[in-house]
Amino acid sequence: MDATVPLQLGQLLRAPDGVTRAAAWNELIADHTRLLLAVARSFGGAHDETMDRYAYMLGELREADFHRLRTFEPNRGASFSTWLTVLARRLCLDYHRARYGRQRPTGDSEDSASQRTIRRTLADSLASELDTESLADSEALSADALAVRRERDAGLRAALRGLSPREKLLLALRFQDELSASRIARMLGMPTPFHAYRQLNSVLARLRVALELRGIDGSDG
Amino acid sequence: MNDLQIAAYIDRGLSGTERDQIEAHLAECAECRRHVLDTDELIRRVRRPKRLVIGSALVAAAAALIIVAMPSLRRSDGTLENPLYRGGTASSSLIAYGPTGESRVGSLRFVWSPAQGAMSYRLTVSRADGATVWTQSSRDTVAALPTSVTLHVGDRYFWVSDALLADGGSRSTGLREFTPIR
Repeated sequence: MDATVPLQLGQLLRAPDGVTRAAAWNELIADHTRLLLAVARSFGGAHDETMDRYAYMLGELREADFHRLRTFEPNRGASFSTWLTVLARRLCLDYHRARYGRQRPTGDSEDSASQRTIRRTLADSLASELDTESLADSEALSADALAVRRERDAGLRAALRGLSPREKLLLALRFQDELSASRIARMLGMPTPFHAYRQLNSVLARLRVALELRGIDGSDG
Repeated sequence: MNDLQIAAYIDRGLSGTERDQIEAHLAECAECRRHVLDTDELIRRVRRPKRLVIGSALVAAAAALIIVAMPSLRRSDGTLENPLYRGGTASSSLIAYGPTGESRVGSLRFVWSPAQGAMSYRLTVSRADGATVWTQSSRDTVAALPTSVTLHVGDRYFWVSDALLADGGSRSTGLREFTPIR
């Protein structure tokens, strides 16, 4: 990863006059047009929409004496091209939201949707065999069954709190985003999908043990 | 998460503590996770090495373009300029036919060579201080300055045409200077 400022960016931001600045800007854009077009294209639509997004990005990058480009810091662990991709995607999102509005997330904030999904799926995977005849909707559950379910939920919450940030992220990617092991491995920088499977199984096994220690073995439904 | 944090996470450039903080946030924030995932996919796709297959027909066409004697490419001593590099850097490969040098303000037409695979051309006209005077995107390789745009006689101006290719690449005429005269 090249953590330096590209030559053209340095020339652009230090340009002593308009001619030098224009030349440096053209060189910078020429070097990164493929990346910017890929970002613009990734939001779909016809050719004209892609070009509109591309033109919008260029305009925003030039705005106020290239103030967005001036925020790049080479010693913060990111390469310029990766950072530019992130910035370009955000600009396209802004453009998209300005035209079509923002999609608001649903669900209450007290207990995030991600945690509910994870607990529900984990509970299913940690439980013993499901007897379909014993399945009942929550309204028909007895008070005892409801109490057991609440206790299992509380146990899962406590067990999840004991996980590392990476392990929690692993569960979110698998059970909420429903990503494949290969996709998870790429995101988390694991060598192979097998490593993702192994770590996931290890986390689930530890959660199972944590629940059993609390007297919750899943056989009560 | 700010853009630098997302980029540093993708580039594996964070310290252990910083990474833990970012991953703790990602575990809770589906929107940021989506942003990281989509950006990561995009970068992988863009950085995939492309195989260039140059057909013999294309090579022959390029050679013919160089050989053909265009009057505008002849220097005053009658020799030919290299059309691929005139007025630009080594990355330029669009031929800029005009305007160059002193050009009559009433008949300003920007003309350049076509680029194979070009989806559109972005023409930018700017003043000597870099301020953009006019810009246009179209599929044509000819553009006339609209009457609503006024250029000052005697001032220096620059124009450049960038071809946007279907594969995400670009070609450029490089900056060309001209001065409007009556």
